[in-house]
Amino acid sequence: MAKLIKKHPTVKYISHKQVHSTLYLKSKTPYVSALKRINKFLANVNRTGSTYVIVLGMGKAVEKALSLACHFQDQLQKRVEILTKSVDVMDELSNDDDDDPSDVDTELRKRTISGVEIRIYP
Amino acid sequence: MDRSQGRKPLNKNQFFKREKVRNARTIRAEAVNADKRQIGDDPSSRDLSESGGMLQLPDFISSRQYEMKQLQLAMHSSKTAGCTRVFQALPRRLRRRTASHNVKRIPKRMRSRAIREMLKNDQQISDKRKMEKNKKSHGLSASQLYRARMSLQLLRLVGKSTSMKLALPEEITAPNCHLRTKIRRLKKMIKDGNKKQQFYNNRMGSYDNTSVNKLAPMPRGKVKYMKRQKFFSWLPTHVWNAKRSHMMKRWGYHLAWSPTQKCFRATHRIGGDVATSDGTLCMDSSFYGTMVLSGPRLQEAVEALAGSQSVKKKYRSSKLWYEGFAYNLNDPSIVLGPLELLWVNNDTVLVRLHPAIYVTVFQSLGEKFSSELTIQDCRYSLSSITLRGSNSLEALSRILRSSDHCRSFEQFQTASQIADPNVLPKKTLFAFNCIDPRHLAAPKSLGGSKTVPTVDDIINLQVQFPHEEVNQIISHLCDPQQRNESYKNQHTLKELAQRRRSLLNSDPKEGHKNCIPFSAESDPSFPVLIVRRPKSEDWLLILPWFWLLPVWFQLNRIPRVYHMGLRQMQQLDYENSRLYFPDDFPFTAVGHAENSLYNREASSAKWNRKPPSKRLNFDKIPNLHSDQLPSCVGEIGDYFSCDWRLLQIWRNGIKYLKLQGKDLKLCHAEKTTQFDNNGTRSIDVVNDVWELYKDIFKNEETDLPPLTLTPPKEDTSKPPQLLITQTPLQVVPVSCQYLERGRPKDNARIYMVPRDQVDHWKQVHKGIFRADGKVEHNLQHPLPSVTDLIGFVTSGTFHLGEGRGVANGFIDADAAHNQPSNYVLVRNVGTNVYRLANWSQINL
Repeated sequence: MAKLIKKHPTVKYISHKQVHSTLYLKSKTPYVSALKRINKFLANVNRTGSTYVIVLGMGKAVEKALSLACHFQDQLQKRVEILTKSVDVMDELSNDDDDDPSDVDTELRKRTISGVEIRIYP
Repeated sequence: MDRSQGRKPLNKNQFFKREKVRNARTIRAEAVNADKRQIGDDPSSRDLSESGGMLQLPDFISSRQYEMKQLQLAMHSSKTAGCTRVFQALPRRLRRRTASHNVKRIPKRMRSRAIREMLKNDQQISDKRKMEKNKKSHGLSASQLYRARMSLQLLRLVGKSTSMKLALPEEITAPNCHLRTKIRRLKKMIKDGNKKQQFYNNRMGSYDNTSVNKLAPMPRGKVKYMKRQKFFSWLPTHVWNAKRSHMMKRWGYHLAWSPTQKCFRATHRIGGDVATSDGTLCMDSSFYGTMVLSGPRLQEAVEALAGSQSVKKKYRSSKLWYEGFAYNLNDPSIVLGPLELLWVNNDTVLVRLHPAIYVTVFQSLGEKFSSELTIQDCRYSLSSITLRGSNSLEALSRILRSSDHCRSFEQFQTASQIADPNVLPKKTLFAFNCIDPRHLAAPKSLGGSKTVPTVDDIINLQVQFPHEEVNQIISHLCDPQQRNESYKNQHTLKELAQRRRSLLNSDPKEGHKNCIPFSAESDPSFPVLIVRRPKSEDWLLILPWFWLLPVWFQLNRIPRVYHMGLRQMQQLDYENSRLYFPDDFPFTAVGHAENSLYNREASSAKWNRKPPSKRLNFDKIPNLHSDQLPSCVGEIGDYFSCDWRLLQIWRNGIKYLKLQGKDLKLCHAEKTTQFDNNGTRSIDVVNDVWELYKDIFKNEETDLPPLTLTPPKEDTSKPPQLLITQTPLQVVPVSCQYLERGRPKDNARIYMVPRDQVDHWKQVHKGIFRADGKVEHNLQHPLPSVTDLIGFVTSGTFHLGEGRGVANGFIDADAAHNQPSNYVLVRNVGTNVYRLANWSQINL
């Protein structure tokens, strides 16, 4: 039986433009902190060269992402686009058959989970 | 002149400037249209309505919009109005003080404007060529002139001999050799020419400086700087770093401590979290000593040095980078410091050690396994760069080009586009032969396939790992002959510039001009190893010593690549809750000395320098504990360091008292004598333990750290006094996260929450609120007892990533395991404020 050792994060790519306009929501992120951060990104959106702010959430954070989207859509009258996504993540597994638990090689396995991408236009 | 006026009249320029600023600051107001002829009878277009200020909504909004726009315009224009010089527009990082004298310091697109400004201000534009022509020869006396000429001559001769590929003889590099002797020797050597000489295989003077089974001599650096490296040797990037960082001398090296520009926040942003990181931090980590071990009893030696985990199959056969502790060869319970290790193949291993423990380990290995082990000292023949940040692999991929077709290099290119290295498998390692990075005119990312890597690609990194290829390259890297071979025909900058010029003049159709084409016969290539360290979570680039500088120069030309020093490494280790050697290693001898000698001396000297009225009086701090020892009024323990000796005696003493079945009384009211019949101190109450500590502290001489990570040996035959002072205390490394406001400092005290106060602190954690809904912070908290002290903070400050105070330290293992909750109280030295924190163990 393979045993789960570690869950890896999603694959992120290098993009200078997106670093300052993309927010990865954690389930731990406080709602108001996310709100302030998006507002900050929106204020600088022209300077960074992007046209919208991306908020990404998956798993437990989906609900928070959607409620943020509602806030920007209804309270602040921003144009908001919501895209659903499939995100590939990796799990690190170990073989339990080996004799010595401290001496096992690990292997990676793909798993797909759903997430949501929210684009908020200034 | 009429002085009564009091004010000097402005000149034309000043007047112009003042007007400019004034104009910029004015905010235009919207004109109110009240003219009846223009607006006619339409009441909706009227600003001032007759109905006495009734609001027309669209008008109202549009006029507010107009006002906001005007305000923004005024702010924007007055921002630049005060600016008179073009270089004031540069970001802080790019400002140069000399930019006001030398236009070369200003970016090209601004230069013409800068020259115009300089001419306008009647400023001289300095030109290096002109300056040298005008320079007068200084008035030197005959002997001074002679000496100056001699040293010039020496440098010329050395330059000549290096370009003839003649190796410098030992005597010349010796520090006590006379200048004239040096010149005589060199002249003779050059005259003799090709006869029975030692030769370098290149014109740069690079050679492999490895010693087998003995410590390597300091590298023969530049003759000019020989005298400055008598006691502390320079890293290859020393001159580069000395211009840009604060340096310090430790462990036999000149090291970069911290960049001269402020960078605390920048380090956090770039080196810390991945999603916000947009760049690379790099450090020359060549001071970490490398040794290569081989021989028949290798496995035994490695097991003795690094513990049984390091010889497991996981590390030995599958190229996983091992990070752990180095142990004393004779006593495996003594930890020397951190150790890193890579099995090159089954009978060779590469070991990296901190310079503070390198020599000790090297010598004890030589003593214990004298004939059965071959130890190469590669301190001055293998160098390394440590990189952090999301772009670090991408930055490397811009400057490193493989000399031949190579699977590992392809994998490296694929992985270089990934910003978050945490997704990579544990075993991530690339090794390939690399061409001289100076072949590139500008560091550019390789063209070609720009498809973003997917999860499958990452899984393939592990599945299709090119074992043989990588094995071969790493064994080349660990072989002195091969390293020396890699310097063959290492080109000088002049030669490379010549080739580049001919390339530029060639036909533009023939390929790109950025890179000088590589030819396998005449051009050098060198092996590099790029490892992702699984625990430190950073990239390590290992390469031959004299190839570091070409790589370093190119690396630092890439935008958003910044250098860092040891301070930044420490900061990043703190932020990721890792232990930093030596400051967070009080259970090793080096770490203990660092804390109890180096840091204590430094901060107590600083405190002593201040006049008594300006410094904190540690002896008189009220309300520290709920109970008070009769002989200890103020702060407990040493004020300027983590007092591990106190903690050891304190915890051992309390444990001993509890074992005796006594309740922890602070002192005897009726008994005055504290000594029993044999003249030794009797241990009956807590105050006796404190007195025992004071006895020890006065004549402290032992260097052995009073802490261990493993359970100490129980020796019940000793009398209790010795048992208390000589048994090391078992501790666990913890990271404490503040649950309230406040910020920890180094050397803060950690207390456990007394059992009867747990409910109160639980309530505090939940939040006790004022009537207005805000959290009440001015509560009177119950104080813990003196006996609740369980640990110290080795590094603590406000954590920018967590947004709260985080303190890393060590607490007594007994107390850690027996606590009902994971609450602790942290108190800074010299204050009586306790902050509630949550602790979690740091994984080693």
